[in-house]
Amino acid sequence: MSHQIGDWHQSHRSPSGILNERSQASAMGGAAISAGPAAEAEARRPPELTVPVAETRNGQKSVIWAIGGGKGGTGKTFVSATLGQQLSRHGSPVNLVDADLGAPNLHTFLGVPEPATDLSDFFFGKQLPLQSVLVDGGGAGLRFAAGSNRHFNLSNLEHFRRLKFLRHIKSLPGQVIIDIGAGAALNAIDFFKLSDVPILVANANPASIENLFLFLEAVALRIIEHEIQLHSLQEAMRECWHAAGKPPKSVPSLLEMVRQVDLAVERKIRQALNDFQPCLIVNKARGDNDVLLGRCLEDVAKRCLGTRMHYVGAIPFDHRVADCLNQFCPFVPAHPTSETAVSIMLIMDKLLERSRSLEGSR
Amino acid sequence: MTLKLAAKSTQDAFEVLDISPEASPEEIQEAYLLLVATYAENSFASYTILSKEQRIAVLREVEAAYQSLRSRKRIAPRSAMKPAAPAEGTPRPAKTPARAIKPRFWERVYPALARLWPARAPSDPGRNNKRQANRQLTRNYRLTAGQHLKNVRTLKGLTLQSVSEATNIRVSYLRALEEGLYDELPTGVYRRLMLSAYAKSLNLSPESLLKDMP
Repeated sequence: MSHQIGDWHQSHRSPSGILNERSQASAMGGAAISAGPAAEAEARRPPELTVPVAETRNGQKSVIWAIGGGKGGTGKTFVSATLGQQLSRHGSPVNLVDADLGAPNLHTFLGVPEPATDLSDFFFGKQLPLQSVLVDGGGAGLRFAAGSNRHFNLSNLEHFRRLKFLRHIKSLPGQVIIDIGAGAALNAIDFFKLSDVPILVANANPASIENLFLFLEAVALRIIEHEIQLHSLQEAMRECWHAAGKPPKSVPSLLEMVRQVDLAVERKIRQALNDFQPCLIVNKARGDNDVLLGRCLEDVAKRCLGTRMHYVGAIPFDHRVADCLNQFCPFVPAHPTSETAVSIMLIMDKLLERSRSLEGSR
Repeated sequence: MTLKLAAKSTQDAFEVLDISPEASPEEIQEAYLLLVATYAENSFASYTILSKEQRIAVLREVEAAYQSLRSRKRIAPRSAMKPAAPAEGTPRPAKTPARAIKPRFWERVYPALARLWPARAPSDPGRNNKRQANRQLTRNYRLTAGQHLKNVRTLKGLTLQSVSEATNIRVSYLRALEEGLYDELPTGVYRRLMLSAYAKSLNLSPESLLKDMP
């Protein structure tokens, strides 16, 4: 089961923690932080979030799907927009959030070029709550929070703004789909890690696969860092690192180092890495080899990174997707009988099944 | 080339192939083929994660595990992997023309010319086997022709009866096409004709669907 904010809140009763950028450096035993005692204290606190477990008005908990993948242009925004549209067509209210703050495109894929309110009104200006910033996405029950091009600093958010964003997303009711941007910045990793169903979108080329594994490694390191902070093993890790002479070059070697320091924590980390089970979609697939690549990536992730990925399907390439984008119309209603559309429906069914099984085990 | 492989315990072998100990011989075969495809030289799956030496080490381990399961008779012997003998009455497959393999007349008479224009290489049988293996490995993750036809027909709100009236094909044959039960269809060229007729009646292009037909 993926990490839930609620779990941390219940099991570790610490004061309202702050997600800290510097905690990564301190976990790695990097250079001493020279910003003063307050920052030192901040750095030592574990990167926790105390966010209330979300409850909707119906009494059902919200389900968050996050769609990421590392490489840009793989089709994350297309997949989030299309899944949101299809889910809303099937009856459930869907809230889409464009968390790609530096390069937002969700409104373009949904065919709403100028939304009335966007995330600028949430972060700056009127500072409306996220619920008020949601605009109609062109379907029954589909609402979305659009990114903004009015403020250029959105990709370099301060801590407190990022935390506020996470809190508000967690409090959105019903089905929530987050479109995470490209890259492995902290924004992307934290949203990905905190979702209920993390989804990765990859293409069948070495560039995309390279970035996919980089992204997964970054998420794994974030999980490890959290556990190290939680058990205050930073000093011990630093000593182990100096004793070894060279820094660990991969996740398995880092785990070996943690095992030398504390076996119980290493077991917990392995359990946490095992519980983090993202789903994989191979987009723009041409031919059987690309469809097979998904199964191959499952095995490589399990054998080399210790992460259990679930391959939910491949979406065939269709040149008409780009044509629909150019005309600002959604693809599936325009071409419902194409293999692309039908594959997306099949993937949506598998993802819904996965959400239901996760909800059942909560 | 026979590899001298260390005696691997059966439990380890199942772990290396990532299958349960109750796996059938077909599942073991499939797991082996998938791993060979994953860690092959031309596969991108392990790009930047494994160095060449590490990748080859994984392949060696997989081969050792597979061979140990075969030696313990967990997998059917090679003779059982041949396709079943064709039933009585079905037409025999066409033989490849001899000319495709033998050198042409003037290549025998004028060997110097043969050096200028080398003989056509026979088609690589390995390529077809790999294609078949890939289709088998991906069958749960791609749309088969029948599934796609059924999905499109349902989306358009058509019944098999209405399609049958439009295409003059029996409902039982249409159902067999959708389910992929190709044995119940008439043999020969009629199968492909039926599939293209069904596809055209739904405004789909039959080429990609015909590829799926055995």
